[in-house]
Amino acid sequence: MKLNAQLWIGGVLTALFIAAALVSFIWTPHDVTALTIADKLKPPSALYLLGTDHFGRDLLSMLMVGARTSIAVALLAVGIGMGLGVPLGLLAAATRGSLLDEVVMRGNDLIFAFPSLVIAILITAVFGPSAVNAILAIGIFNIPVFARVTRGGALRLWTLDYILAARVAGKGRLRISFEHILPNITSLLIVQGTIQFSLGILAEAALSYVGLGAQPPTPSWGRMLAEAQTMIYTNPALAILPGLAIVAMVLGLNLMGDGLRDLLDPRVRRARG
Amino acid sequence: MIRLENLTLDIHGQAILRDVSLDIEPGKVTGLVGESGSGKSMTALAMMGLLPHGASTTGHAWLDEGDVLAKSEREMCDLRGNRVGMIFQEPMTALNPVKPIGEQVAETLVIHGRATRREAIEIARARLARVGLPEERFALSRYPHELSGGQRQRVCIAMAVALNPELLIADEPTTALDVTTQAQILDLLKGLVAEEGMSLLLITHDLAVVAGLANHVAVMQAGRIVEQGPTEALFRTMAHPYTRKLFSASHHKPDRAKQAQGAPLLTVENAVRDYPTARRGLFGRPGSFRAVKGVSFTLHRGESLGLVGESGCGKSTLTRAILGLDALQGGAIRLQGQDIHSGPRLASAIRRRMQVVFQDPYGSFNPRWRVERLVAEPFHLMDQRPHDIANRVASALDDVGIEPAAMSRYIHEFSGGQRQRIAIARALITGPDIIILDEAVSALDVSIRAQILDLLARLRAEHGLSYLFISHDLSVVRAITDRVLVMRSGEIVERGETAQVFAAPTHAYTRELIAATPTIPADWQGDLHA
Repeated sequence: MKLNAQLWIGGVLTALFIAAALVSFIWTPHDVTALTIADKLKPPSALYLLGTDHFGRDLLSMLMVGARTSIAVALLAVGIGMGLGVPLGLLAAATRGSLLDEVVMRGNDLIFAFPSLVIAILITAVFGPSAVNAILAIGIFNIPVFARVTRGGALRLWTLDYILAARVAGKGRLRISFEHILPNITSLLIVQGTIQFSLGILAEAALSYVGLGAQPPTPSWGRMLAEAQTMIYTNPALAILPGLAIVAMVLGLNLMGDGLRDLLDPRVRRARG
Repeated sequence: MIRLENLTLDIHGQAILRDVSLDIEPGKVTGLVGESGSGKSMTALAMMGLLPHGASTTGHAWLDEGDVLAKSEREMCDLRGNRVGMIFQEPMTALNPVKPIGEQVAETLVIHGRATRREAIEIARARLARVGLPEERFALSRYPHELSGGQRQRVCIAMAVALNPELLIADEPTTALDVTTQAQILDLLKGLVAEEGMSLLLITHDLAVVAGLANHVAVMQAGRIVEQGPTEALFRTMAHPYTRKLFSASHHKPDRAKQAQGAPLLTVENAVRDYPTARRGLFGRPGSFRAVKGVSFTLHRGESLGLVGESGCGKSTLTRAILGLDALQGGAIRLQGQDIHSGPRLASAIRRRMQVVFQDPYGSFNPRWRVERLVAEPFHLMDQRPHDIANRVASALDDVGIEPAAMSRYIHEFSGGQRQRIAIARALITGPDIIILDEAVSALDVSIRAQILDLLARLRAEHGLSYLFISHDLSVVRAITDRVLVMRSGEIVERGETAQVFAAPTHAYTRELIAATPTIPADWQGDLHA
């Protein structure tokens, strides 16, 4: 098979950030909570590889811990979306046309109807800004996305003969959903999960940019951007570096998502010949 | 005059066609017969310049004095539709669903710059009328979904002949259609060829279709034309063993020992099944359509009962009700006195006595399960799972002629015929009394079909099974059933001993069905029947 360049580039970028986030648990070049005012706004040097910010904190260390925050928030948000959205979608498909299906899908439409970031701001504003509330806010908007993808994929499968054969074998709708339907839509879910993951990173950055995400002293990319805003002419690197990190991570995940779809979705695979 | 000369085709280094030479004469029908994978469709695609990527050809395809294979893509675009038209098997997907039929036919004319929009619509009107869709009854503004399968195929034909092509290629044009519709479409094609003087290349797997229509026949096997000649002479001599094999497979009758007919097993009494239809308007109530209108019959132990009818007659709906998948709106279905109803609480003791084999060998299995788990699925109906599942699966596979080593493999590693055997193994595993065969051999090649029919006959004798054999294919029903029911629009219009119904049908519809079934004239088969 031809080398899938998209998947490779995306995978390597994503792996790089995940590795940095994991390493930050046990080691960072400097302590991100230690303020060394004497070393503020230093250019890159052997001691501070990417320089320091206005409190003298090491930028590289902050970016590493920031990656951890972003990935944790986005991953948990996708987890909430999948954990609730997939079962709801399976349920809706299994009871197609019933009241339950209508309730689930119209509930979806209701959530879809609101601009997600505005509601996320509302939630964090009401319940107080914190990483947990950011996770919940982003997670809730992932539910209808997964419910819809799952239902669409499942409805196509419900018409197939092997589902009919399972019903003739006396299996209930719930059992069929988990034994036959779910394994055959995993590729759909993996692809959608990657895309939602990258959107989660963006949403987390946006929330912490407006001060509603992870709170100080926990570093996050969005807040680093916000804090650098006032110094953008004197110290552009302070804004550019977290901005680049967001772009590279989201790009990496999107490329990986597209690459995975090419690899896993038989329809796209056939279209490419 | 179209002439293929030593056409050889490889796709990604794999041999597809070998030295295919065929003359297609103007005003004549040339039949190309073969089983799936023999290369007959690829021959047609090569003539249209529509080969897939990685294809390399040698030899020539002469259209008058130009070699089609040497033409550029631009020249081919000009040629397709203009000098060569094509009709495909599946009329449901061959039309653009969002364009009215008149516009679709006119489009071909406009693209080739043969007519202005207004003239094109005029020609489209005439063409559609010619193929049996006069404007008074089928307005040009109709959309494909408002037409039946046969009517859509007529639209496809109108499109293909809109520009009076010299060659019309029809690839299995009637395979997806009912037998009475098939007869009408074949008549239409025959008439067009005679009137317009175009050549028709008819690609099919069905010898009987070719026998009734073609002037010249070529039989294809594994990328080669093994035999060709004028139709009647070819059928009379059948010089090549493969031709004889195809012929005898299509007429195959499994040896059936006359079985003692036991007590009534399955009784269907006045079964009624309604379907909800689309809502009328935003707040309208959904309508309802009665698909099965009070059907009654009895299936005896050890009997093979045929249920014949065209698509939409309600036979599949009835099957689903018998299997307890859908609820009836009236009447009753009983298995030895026990009521069959839909819903999860239907006792598994009843369910495991009835199993089913479906038509499509490709959609019948979960692609992510191994054969062992697939075949063992109906064990779900047992009160407790037997502990020797692997042994039982192995013996069921052995019963249907699949080696037990296949248990650890995935379903995509098997051919269509093998899959249908595995489906039968799955149906056998709980030791049922009845197996419902829902078009179980319709998607198979004739030689594979003959093997499966033999297998079914053997299993029935060995296990004392009863079959409810549902099919639109009269020849298969004739070969394997004791009694037959003929169904039309939700009602059974004729019933009786199979031999008697076929010999002396009493209902007009049965007579129509039998007359529409293509047959090879009896006196063409002299040597083989002697």
